[in-house]
Amino acid sequence: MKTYAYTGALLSITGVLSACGGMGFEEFYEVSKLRTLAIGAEPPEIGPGQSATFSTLTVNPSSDAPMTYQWEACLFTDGPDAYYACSESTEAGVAGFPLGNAPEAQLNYDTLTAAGFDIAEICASLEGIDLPDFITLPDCTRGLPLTIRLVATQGGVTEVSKKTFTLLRPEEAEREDVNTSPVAGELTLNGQPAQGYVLSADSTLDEVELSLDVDLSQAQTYEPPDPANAGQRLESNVEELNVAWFTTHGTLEYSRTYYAQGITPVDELGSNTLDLTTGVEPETGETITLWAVLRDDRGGISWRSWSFSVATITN
Amino acid sequence: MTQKYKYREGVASTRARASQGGGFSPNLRCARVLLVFGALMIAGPVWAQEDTEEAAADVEAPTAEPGTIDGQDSALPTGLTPPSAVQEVTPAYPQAALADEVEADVVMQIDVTVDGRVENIVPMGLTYYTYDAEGYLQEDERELTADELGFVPAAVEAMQGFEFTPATMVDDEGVAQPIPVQLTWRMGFVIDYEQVEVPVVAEEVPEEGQPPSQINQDGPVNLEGRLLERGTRTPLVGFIVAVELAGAEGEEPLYAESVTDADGRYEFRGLPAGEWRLVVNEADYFPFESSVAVSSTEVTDSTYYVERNTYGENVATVTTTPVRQEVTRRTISVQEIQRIPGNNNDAIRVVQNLPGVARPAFGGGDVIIRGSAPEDTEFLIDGMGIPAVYHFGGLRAVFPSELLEEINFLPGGYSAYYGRATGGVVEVTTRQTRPGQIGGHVDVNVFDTGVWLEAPIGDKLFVQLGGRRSYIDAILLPLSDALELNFTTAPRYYDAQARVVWDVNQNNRLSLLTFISDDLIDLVQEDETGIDPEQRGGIRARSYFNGAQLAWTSQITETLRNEMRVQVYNQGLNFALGQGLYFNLKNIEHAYRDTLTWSPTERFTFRYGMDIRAIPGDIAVRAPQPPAEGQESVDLGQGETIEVAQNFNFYQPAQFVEVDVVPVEGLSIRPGFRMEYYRPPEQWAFQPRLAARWQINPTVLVKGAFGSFHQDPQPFETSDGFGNPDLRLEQAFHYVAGTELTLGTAVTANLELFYKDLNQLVSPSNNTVQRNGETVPEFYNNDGDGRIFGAEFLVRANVDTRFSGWVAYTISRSERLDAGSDEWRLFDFDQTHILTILGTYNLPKNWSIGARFRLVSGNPATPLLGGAFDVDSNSYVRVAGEANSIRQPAFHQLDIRVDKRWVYNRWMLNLYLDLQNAYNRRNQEDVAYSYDFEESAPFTGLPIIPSFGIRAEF
Repeated sequence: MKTYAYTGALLSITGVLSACGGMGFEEFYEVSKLRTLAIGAEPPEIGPGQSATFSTLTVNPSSDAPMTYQWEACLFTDGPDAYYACSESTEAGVAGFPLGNAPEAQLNYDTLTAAGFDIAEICASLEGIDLPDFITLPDCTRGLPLTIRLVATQGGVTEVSKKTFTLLRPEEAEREDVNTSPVAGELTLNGQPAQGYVLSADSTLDEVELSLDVDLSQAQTYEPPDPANAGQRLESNVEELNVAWFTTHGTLEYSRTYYAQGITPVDELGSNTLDLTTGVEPETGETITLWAVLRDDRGGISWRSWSFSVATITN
Repeated sequence: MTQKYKYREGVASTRARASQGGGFSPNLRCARVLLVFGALMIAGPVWAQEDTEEAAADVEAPTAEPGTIDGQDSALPTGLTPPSAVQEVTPAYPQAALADEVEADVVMQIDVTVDGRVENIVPMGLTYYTYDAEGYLQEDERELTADELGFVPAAVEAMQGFEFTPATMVDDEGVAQPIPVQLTWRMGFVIDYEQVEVPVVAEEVPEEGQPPSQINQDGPVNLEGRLLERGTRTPLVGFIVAVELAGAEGEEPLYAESVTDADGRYEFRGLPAGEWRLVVNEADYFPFESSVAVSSTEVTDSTYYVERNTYGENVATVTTTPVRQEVTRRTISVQEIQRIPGNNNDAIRVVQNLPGVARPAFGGGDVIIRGSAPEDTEFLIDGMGIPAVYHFGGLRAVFPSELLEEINFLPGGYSAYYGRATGGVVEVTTRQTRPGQIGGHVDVNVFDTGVWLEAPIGDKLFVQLGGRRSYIDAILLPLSDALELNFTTAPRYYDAQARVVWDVNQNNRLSLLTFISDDLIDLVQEDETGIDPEQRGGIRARSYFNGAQLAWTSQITETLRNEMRVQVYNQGLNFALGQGLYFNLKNIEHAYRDTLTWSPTERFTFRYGMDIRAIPGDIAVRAPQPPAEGQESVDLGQGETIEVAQNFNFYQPAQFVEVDVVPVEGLSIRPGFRMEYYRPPEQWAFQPRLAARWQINPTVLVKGAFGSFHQDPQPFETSDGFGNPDLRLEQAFHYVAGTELTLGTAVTANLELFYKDLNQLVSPSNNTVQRNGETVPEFYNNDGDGRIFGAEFLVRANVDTRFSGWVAYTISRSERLDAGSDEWRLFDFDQTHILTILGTYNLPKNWSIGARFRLVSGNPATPLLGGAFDVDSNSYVRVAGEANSIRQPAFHQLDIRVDKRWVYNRWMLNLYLDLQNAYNRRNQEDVAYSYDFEESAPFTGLPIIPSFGIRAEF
């Protein structure tokens, strides 16, 4: 019996993440080109009679050229190797549909149902069919998960992003603990409001304290369904929150900060440090932009951004 | 290892020379045979030369018993019988030399074939002897080209007429097989003078009141002792110890000789009191002289240590043809390989230098044989499975080299004795030779410190004890603050072994081996802010096993032999990454193997065996689906996490039969059949095997093999949560054909062609299946295929005691056809060209230097075309191109090793420096990508790494 091959593979998985640090690449949080930092859905999940609006935080600090957007909702995709293109397979029924080319897109539950997109029927029909190799069977426990796909283009450069969005079963949509997106408050730099702030030359530019105001009540309490027993619920959970930080200049101490009840300190989620003397250093008066994308672990998402500058830089 | 036997010839002539006032020459003039097996005694007639004078023939050569010495001499392989001369030819004494009264010794290197003929006579040395005006012997060692008097051609001509009974070696079936050997033969040309006085042997009774002035051969022993090899304390057997006492003015000096026995003991009787000069002068050893005060009334007991010229571990001039059951078996002696550079003194790792073995990345420990996956290689110790081969997956072998005698590498077409592996087999055998005395070592190197002790206990027992412990933790702990790592337990490993071997009687041997191994790393980062809460809590990994193996070998009758082994070990694998990911495996393996061998004749051997494994255990895993071969790695946070907890109970009995038939001389055929059962998946496997070897002539051998092999899937591939419990066995067919060339005694060449057909390979699947009334993901199926073909070349050289090495080259291609695909792709470890050149050279003064050069094709790689941003995981998912459609740049590296040994009487000190990647080549092992996979950079392997170690052996 040969058991060590798996352990070797698992160790290699953990190794990949750490392999790329220190290779001279940009950090994940450094934004210098066309990037999609987030896709939001409001509300994060919809049930019968509801609509959702999709928006995106797609930015490019290096260019003011116009952007174009292409939204799609896919039942199945051809996987990452095809940039999550909606699958052409018709065997499973409706494969996907376009959502428009505007910066925002809408999706209406009833409109889908009227067009023959019956969630219960689709979920039932998925069982037992012979799916193509590149298609993974979705989990229909709470509803039908769709892939919202966005292709943002600017000046010939394309960024493809995707997000999971669930069309809830009616009974799930009626629950009180249905998901809502967490919302962040204001950001301070060294205790001062960030927006429009000018860091003086006397400031400690290598250690700018960032503090994001997030009310921890944003972490909802919910009871997930028991996948093994239809109609039953598992014990209640408190959502975990995380903030993904992005900046146009400097280096951040943390790319992401977290809140998990009972695991992380309560003040960890909104705390970070920005070092403006490393990475892309700002010129005097140059605008520095920070973004903070706040997520919960059920797909809820929102973001804020702030712009500030630095007074005379003495090299 | 070289030992000598001294065979005295022409004793009378020697003594005649001494009586002529020849004095004492440090170069003893006895014709002798040198055998590099060990101290052996040969029965043989006295050889007396003819010349114009009658040869004195009244002195007998010491007789001896043919065959082995019962393991008393640590350097001698048991079962070896050296050749003995049955026909000797007296050389013609060159007339010019006779007229000038010149004597000589001619040293020749000869090959004695398996049918006793003498071949390849190579003169090696020449010494002329004359007497000066005072009658003292003058020695003139000269070049072969300066043989004006014609001794060399006369000696060669005479040597051509010699005939021997061939040397034999007892094989695994207890049958003595003739083997070719190489000898060094010294032929002496001595003028036999008439009316010779031999004062050194004359028995004279001293006058009353007068002290004895002559040696009394019948007197009591008054000088005795032992002769031991310096550093190793090995008894020197069959060595001539000569003593001389200068006489008063006008008197002849007294001279006597003694030959050491099997224990290295010498003795002299009736020596007159005085300050004697003791001399030992044997080939391959530095001349030794000492003064010893002898009393006529007391016994002087002195032990002397004689130093070898070279302590290299090369098996030098012996050319043995090991009895082969396998078409392809590369056997390496541990002594031969311990100085190969780049192996960190790790005997098992040397397998990676053999043809057909792909190079693992980052110097890891994987053994990838002829295009098969690492997990398709079976590792055995004395026929029983090893739970793990290396500490931390490739750092150091879990069994020390000192425990091992041989490493057998079987890359394909192996016998029905082996199973449960479709790739190849690496079998290590523990040392069977009984140590002659207590010995051991302490080894300190950059990785660990190890101790080893072995000792005979009485005549029938010996024990071996070993242990190692790393100290990486001791180095890292002080650095943990700087690294911002908090090691709960810094990485450390240890292993220990204890073995007892009991020769119950001549026909039965029992041995018990116990072993333990433990690897552990446990660390947390001081500041876990910024780390996903599920991954907080640090990393902990532990791998351990402990167990015992009991073996009973019984020679039931002359033709019937049985070997039974029972092994039990407990194994655990624990891995945890924070709170969210873990892997916990625990099992106990019970294994039983019994092999009955019947050899009624030299040409027929029947073998029947049972090989049973039972492995109950449990596993608990929470992790993402691991990538299969050919798939890209999964980044944490992406993909689904699967949780499984279950018990298992593997049961795998097997039986095999095979026959070795020699229908005609030189041709051996081995049909075999192996039957296996696996539960899971409750499947039988029937495996015919066939191999043949034909020694066309002493130089050329052709061979071929075919076989069917099966292997069960990996445990996680059949688990309920991660895999498909309905998977079937994987299967492979091996086809091998080749030739072996014996080019003289120092060089062998080997060419082999191979083809492997793999089917029912476990392959990833995205299908869904109905199982227990539910639609579930299939995860894997058996629809994968593979094909591997190639050629291997191996040239090995062992040139006297100074040089050994080999050149290995493999050209091959390994491809896979994944389930649902129509196109073949390259295997993850396909390496088209693998060239390894290595050698070790022993320099004077116990220096040795070795080098290894490798040139290997880069591994296939899947290009990444970019990334798509996954908003849910806040990370980019790689977009892969065609699987394994590009190749990493070629790898090449030079490793150098230098050893220096200091030899003391009772111990030796070894210092080595192993410089890996001597010219600091930054070989690309992988490609690193930016966060969005839009940019890439080479990810290079290890830079120049010096490692060193020091070992004290006693």
